[in-house]
Amino acid sequence: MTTLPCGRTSEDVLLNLDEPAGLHELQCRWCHAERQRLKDQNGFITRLLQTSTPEHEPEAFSKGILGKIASLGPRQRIWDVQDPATGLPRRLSSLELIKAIRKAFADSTTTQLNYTEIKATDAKVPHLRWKIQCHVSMAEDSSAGVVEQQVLSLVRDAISPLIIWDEVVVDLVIEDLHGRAIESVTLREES
Amino acid sequence: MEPTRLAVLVGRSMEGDPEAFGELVTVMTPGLRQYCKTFFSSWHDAEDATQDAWIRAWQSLGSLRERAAFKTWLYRMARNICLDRIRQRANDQQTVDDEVLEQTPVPDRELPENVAVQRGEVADAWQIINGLPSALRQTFVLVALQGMSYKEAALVTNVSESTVRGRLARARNAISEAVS
Repeated sequence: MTTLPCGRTSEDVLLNLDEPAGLHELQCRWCHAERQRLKDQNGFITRLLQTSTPEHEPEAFSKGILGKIASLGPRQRIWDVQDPATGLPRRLSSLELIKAIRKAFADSTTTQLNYTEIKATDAKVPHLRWKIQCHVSMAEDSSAGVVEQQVLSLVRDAISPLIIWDEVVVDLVIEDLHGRAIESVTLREES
Repeated sequence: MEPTRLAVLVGRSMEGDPEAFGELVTVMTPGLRQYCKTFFSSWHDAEDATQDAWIRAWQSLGSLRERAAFKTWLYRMARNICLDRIRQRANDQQTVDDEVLEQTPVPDRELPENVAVQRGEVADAWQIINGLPSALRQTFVLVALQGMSYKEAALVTNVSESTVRGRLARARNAISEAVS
């Protein structure tokens, strides 16, 4: 550990290297120079580590993992539903319903769907009552009121061609850019 | 990766979409692999642990409470896998794989004038890191290489933020002494 002429040590400077320089460091040429030296050195080692990391084949690696998870079987639940076109019973996975919801949201310019979950809330076969969780972020120029109306309508439009339903409850969570909840509301519609 | 894109991919993965999960794997594996390397002497072991971490992540996605915390959740899982493997192989040596280092290219950039590193020493970057105690090594890679905040690194390594700060300073000091 080096002691600088001003009495501080390299370690003192290192402890706050990721933060803006304090008043002393701004005024003290020794600390200022030491901070610069340590930052340069740190940046150099970081770059060196990146460049000296042996290459791997990301695509082959991903394929290997995806192959393994595929063999683990699907994680989705399967639901007994009634087909609106034929009136016949059929089985649909959560992912099929989710894909339809995602497709409906894809064209929205005010709402981005971050996460959705769907489940039947009744014990009947076919299921007629559904609960959908929608986590969304909204465009800056939009408002919670507009988003609420739009989400319910998008969900309804997405699932109606796939299932006959009596009741749809949407638990809507509006999130910030980092996925943290900033507002939540429950919306409900009966057919 | 932008936070919004990450939020969407994590959300879709939680919904059971393997395509979205595959994109996460592709984008995040290089960093995760480097972190796993801090536990092992060989890249092969690091890759095995990385693969296990992804498979366990897929199986456990339902237990992820906050999508925004996906990265720290994943790295924490990887850390536990690495520690389990090390415990299983108690005689694992933290020695550097010289063969791999010999094959690493020397960066063609000019060195800053004030960094006293000779060209011959350049290939020893991972050797320097591997020479650090495990806790310092992990902290340095998480913050300096993976760009995690002190808070995130603290969550991954299960210590306080001030401990991370101290460890990082000690790691940087040791590196500084090693290259000067």
